[in-house]
Amino acid sequence: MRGATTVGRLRWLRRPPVATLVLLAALVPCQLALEWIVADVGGMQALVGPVDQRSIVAGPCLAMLLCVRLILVFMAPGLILAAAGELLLARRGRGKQPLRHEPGTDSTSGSSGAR
Amino acid sequence: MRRVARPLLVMATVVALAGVFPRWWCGRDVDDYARGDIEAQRRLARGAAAWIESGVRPESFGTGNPRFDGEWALVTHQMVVLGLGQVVLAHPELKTEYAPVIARAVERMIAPEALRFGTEAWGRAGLEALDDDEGHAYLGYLALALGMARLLDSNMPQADLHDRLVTALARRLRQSPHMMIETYPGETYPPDVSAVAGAIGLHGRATGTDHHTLLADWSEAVRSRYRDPRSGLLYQAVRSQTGEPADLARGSGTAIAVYFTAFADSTLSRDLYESLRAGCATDLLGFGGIREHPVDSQADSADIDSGPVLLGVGVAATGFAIAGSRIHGDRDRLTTLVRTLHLFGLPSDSDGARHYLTGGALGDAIMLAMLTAGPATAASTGDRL
Repeated sequence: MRGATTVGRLRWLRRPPVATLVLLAALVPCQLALEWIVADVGGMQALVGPVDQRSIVAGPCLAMLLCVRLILVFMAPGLILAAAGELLLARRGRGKQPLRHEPGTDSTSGSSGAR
Repeated sequence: MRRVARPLLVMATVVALAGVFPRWWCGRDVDDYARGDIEAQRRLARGAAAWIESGVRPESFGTGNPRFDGEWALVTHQMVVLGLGQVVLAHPELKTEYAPVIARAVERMIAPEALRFGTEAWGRAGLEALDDDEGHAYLGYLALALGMARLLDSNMPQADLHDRLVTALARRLRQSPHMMIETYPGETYPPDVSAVAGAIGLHGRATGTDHHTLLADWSEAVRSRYRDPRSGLLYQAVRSQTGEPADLARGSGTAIAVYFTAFADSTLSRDLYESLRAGCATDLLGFGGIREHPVDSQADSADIDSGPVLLGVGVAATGFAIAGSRIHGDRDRLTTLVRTLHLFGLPSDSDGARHYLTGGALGDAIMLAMLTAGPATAASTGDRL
């Protein structure tokens, strides 16, 4: 029962806008960690010479880092704005819902995750 | 309906902001770089100077080729000297902070181990063979650095070496039937010779020596023989015996030549820059790049000079072109190139110093020189022509 309660409490995480924000937030420490690794092996210069331990580390890390950076710079602002807007609309929709079911109203309308 | 509307709304928001936010975010430093803000230049200077303090040597690089390792170490020191010199010329109050770093870098550059890659290629140390007629054009990089150091300190300890070196390079250039001298036996690279010409020009500026006739003749030779007639770009390599093209005209060589040539002939530098911009500049969503080969070229090769080439855009050409855009007042191009630098160079600031994580020591040094190059430091000599 205790587990079910915890899962229930975390159910809000499954809502698309919240999940989007959590995933984007997780990318930030990923970028920092990858930056640290890339700087430590010498950056792009590690890819110029023969294949060795440095280039094996630098190649994938640099590729991942650039992907993460492109997502954060090009996609994150729009995703954050869309998610924030959706959460705001859901909150307003929930606020407008009547406390009791009144004739002519539908209490199930509004946010998909506001139940 | 919501199932369709939500993804569409999210996608529309992402696309709308992708056209606005990244160019603003990555272009926040453009104004500072464009007007030579002292704090922005100081961050770059501290980042590059830290590499000199830590002792960059040929062994610091891992290109897999000792010659390239040696070249990279020499160019790292050269770019730091040029960059710090440009910073000090723009902000004289920083001279006491950076003069010792410049002096240290110059001392390291003239050490035998720093020039070993040239010694091994020629079988004799270039600085010990100044009376000979062999090319040793790689010494143009050293001579440029010496020129900048002397511009800041006319009584520097290496003044005599600077005079002898530039005299030797000028004599070799004059005696060459093609106005080109070899970097290594059987290898002649016009971009390297542009460093020689720039060094001669800067020597004239630092000492008052008149190199007018030689530089005018060299500029004329470049215009008539070493630029691709179609693109106007500089040939990357020519045959030592005949001066005929031995490689394509490329973005990386032309972009660095725009910078070096500015110390000798600002008009030629501008012409090369215009060709580079017309034939190789490309933009996407406000981010700019310089192609290694012109747009209408079928070539797509990359080598140690070009650095990685992605979708035709060369890393070296793009980085070097920043100097040209600053020297020749092309604010729009500077803006788009700096955005690209910010996006892919991964700038990291700590303790008042900026490092570009993807570039390492060489990248920091080059970016210092390119982002601080300007009309005030480069074009004066050319204006006298």
